[in-house]
Amino acid sequence: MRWVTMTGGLLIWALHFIGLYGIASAEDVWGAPDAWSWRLAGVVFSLLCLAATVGVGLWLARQRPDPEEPEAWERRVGLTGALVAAVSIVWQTGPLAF
Amino acid sequence: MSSETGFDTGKYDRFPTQAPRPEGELEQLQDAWCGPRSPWEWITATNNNIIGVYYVGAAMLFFVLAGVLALLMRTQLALPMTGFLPQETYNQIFTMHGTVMMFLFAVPAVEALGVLLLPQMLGARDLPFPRLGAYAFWAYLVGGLAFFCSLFFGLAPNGGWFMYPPLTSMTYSPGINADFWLLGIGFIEISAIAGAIEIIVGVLKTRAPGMTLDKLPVFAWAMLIFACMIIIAFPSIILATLLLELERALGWPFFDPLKGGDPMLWQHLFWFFGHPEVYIIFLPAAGAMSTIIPAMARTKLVGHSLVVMAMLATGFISFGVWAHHMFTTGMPQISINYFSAASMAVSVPAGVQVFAWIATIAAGKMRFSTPGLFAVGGLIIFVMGGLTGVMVAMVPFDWQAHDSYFIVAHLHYVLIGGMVFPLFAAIYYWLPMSSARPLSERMGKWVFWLMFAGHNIAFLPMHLTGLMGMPRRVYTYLPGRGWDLPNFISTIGAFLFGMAVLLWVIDMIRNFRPFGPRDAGNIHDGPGLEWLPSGSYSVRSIPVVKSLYPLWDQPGLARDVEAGRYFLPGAPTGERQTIVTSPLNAEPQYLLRIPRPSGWHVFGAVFTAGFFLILTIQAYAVAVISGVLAIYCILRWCWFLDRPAKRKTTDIGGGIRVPNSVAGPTSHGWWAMVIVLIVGGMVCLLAGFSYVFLWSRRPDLWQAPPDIGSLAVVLGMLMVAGAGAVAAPRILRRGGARAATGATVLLALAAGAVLAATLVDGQAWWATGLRPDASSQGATVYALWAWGATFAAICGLMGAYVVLRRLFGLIAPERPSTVDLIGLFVAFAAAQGAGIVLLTRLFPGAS
Repeated sequence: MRWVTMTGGLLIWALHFIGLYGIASAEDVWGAPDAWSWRLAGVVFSLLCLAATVGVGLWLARQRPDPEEPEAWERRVGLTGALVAAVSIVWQTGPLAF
Repeated sequence: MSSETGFDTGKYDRFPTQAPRPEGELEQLQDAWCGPRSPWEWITATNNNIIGVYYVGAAMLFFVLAGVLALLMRTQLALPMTGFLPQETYNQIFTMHGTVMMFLFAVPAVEALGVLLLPQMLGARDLPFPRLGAYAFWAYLVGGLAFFCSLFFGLAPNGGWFMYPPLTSMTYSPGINADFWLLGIGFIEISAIAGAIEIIVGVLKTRAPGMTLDKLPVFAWAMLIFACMIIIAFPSIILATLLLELERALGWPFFDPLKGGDPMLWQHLFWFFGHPEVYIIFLPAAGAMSTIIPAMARTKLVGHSLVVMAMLATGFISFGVWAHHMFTTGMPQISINYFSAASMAVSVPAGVQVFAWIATIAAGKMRFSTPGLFAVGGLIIFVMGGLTGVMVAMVPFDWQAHDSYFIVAHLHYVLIGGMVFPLFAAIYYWLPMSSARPLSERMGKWVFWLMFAGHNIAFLPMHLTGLMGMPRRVYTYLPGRGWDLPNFISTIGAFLFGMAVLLWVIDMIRNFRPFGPRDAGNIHDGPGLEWLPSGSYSVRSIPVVKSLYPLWDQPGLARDVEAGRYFLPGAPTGERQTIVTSPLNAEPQYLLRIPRPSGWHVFGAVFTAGFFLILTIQAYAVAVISGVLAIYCILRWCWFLDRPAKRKTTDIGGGIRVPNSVAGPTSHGWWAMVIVLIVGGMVCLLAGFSYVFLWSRRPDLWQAPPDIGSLAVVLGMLMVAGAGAVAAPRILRRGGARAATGATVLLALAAGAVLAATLVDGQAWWATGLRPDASSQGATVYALWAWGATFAAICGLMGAYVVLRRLFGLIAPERPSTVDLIGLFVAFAAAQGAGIVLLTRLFPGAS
């Protein structure tokens, strides 16, 4: 569980990227170029990932470990990781707008 | 502190102990860990202090050799239309330069640094699998030297370090040059994976008590992430080399568009390995920078938790940027956009680390001795390379700069700034610890300034030559295009760089002379455990760690450790041992018995290398003999594992007793097996990706799978096999008169069931008329089947092994590790086989 605490946000970020690539590849095989439904699928998937990352961040923010315990440091790593992941998910969803 | 394992961490307060140490304790420790006394013992040595030095030395040898190749290339390119090197020789040299630098220098060098430093840094006596580490080293050295020597016979690969088909297919590369690359590199990557297993288990399981994750040295964090990345990324290149070799040797058309293959598959597989490879190289070097800069600035690392997060983030996102090497290949536009965005995002975690280093330098009082100079020089060069990296992440710019000298400049700025300069900083910083002598400061400053100037003189003009249109990989160019002067300047810079390396080699030879004082000590006032007084046994006693900077924050630690006042101050059983701790809080769990040197791992490595290298010259019978001998050596090596301990528990100090061995998920062997299975699973997963990818290219060529009846039979047999493999360890643990025999029989039957299921599946496909050389479907179906069959064959071998051990009375309820690990492997093989069968039979289904 403590590994998930530290890497939860980053894991979702990785999942988001693989998912976007999968959706784009599926569009390439089955869909028409620039079909809006595939783009919508990408946006919905990204919003789900963003919500999950924010959820991880909020869950970590509510934890209150003793500042002297290693869990406090692990929480800090996890929180900053979730923040970076959230920003990156938004950034990598950007191409869907073009 | 809350306990992870139930261990009372209050017991740490018993240390340092106050009672006088018993007579002869230190001598017993020295006897147990005595170093080599004959030339043969130097070869069979397994201790990380020796293997680590060999490993670093071999990596630097390949660095020098590849550097000489670079100088030959720069001589050829110094002036237009030079005839210094023939075209074919030039092609072989530039291919070998890239290949040797990436595969034989960069990854092994950082892995070697880990093998050398980690035990001391973590407070362990050695890494958990010293023979595996030594095997990896010898395999790498023998394989690497043989591979390099292909150059002297005109047999070196000549298709570039990425070996793109169709250039490397039989049609355009009919000789055995490409085979040397494919089999040689595939084999060397297996050696890298062996090293990675040792590093992961070492960092997670052999830390000094109290070294929780927040107190884990940043370098160890970097090595942990590095090794995890190897486990995920390297299977991709192993698969790619296997597929291309299968196409070349047997005509299975993975990359041949006429039969439904696609050269793009190679690019996906290669770069799924190739781009993370850059971060695989960079992260340990960054970890070294995050260790060296605080020590040289005499202050703690600014933003420690952010730096660790940034390294973790780099590890994750590095797997999402592989296709930025493929912007010009005609991928779907939206995919290109995603990869472009991700490539820009990856600069954020790199930037976090760079700012942390700058802030640390600003916060402390930086000493610009040679390690400090190399650290700061590397920082400057890496930032310049990072900025051009953001430029080429932008697709329109990349379309212009792709395959030009601009990219050559960019990659050398990133790799030299991100890895070579930090590596030199590390060598200058840690050599006093390893050889007990510092390198010359005066010569070191010459080395640094020549290298820094040489690098910039060589590679800065290449940005311009690239923007002026000079393509990569050309063996000469016409005059009058404006390329003459920048090329000439680049050549001067390359030779300056070469002079720096030559000076460094001279200083290293001087340093390792067998006479003169060896008493450097902690000359940099480093804060890590690696600076504790040490011998071949590592530290005299294993300390309780209470800080990220123990030597700065725990006064008297060095004195008490040397006086034997902490854990395991001797060798209580007369054997080589280290403490295994829990992966999060590093609480003591049990004692790990470390094997003494023997020749089996060396023979095993030589025969393994022989198997792969002899295959390239197509002497198949000799290769098979070499392979069988390699398996025999490895089985002999394993035979002496999982033996009963003389006593069940040992006092490791302070009245704390721990078991002498454990089995199951707590044990280091179980962790190693799980990592091996992850590697196997990754190869299978990527082979599955290849299957789907090639179907998406030419679905019209795909035929219907065998009937559903055979699917049910195969799945049923695999389920039975899996259930038997899971049940065997439980039956053994239940004890009783027939437990050992029952578990052995069950395991052997499970292994047999996997083999039988694989044969039934293969026969069913063959009966449909599908042949591996007929189409991409045939190639991928039989490749997946062959992967499963390899696991099934290993299951068969393991089944025979466990029966043999039972016959010798070596299977018993009190030592269940062998049955545990073989059960785990067989269960995995069954699950993997089921996955393969389901994919190939149900996707895309009947057509």
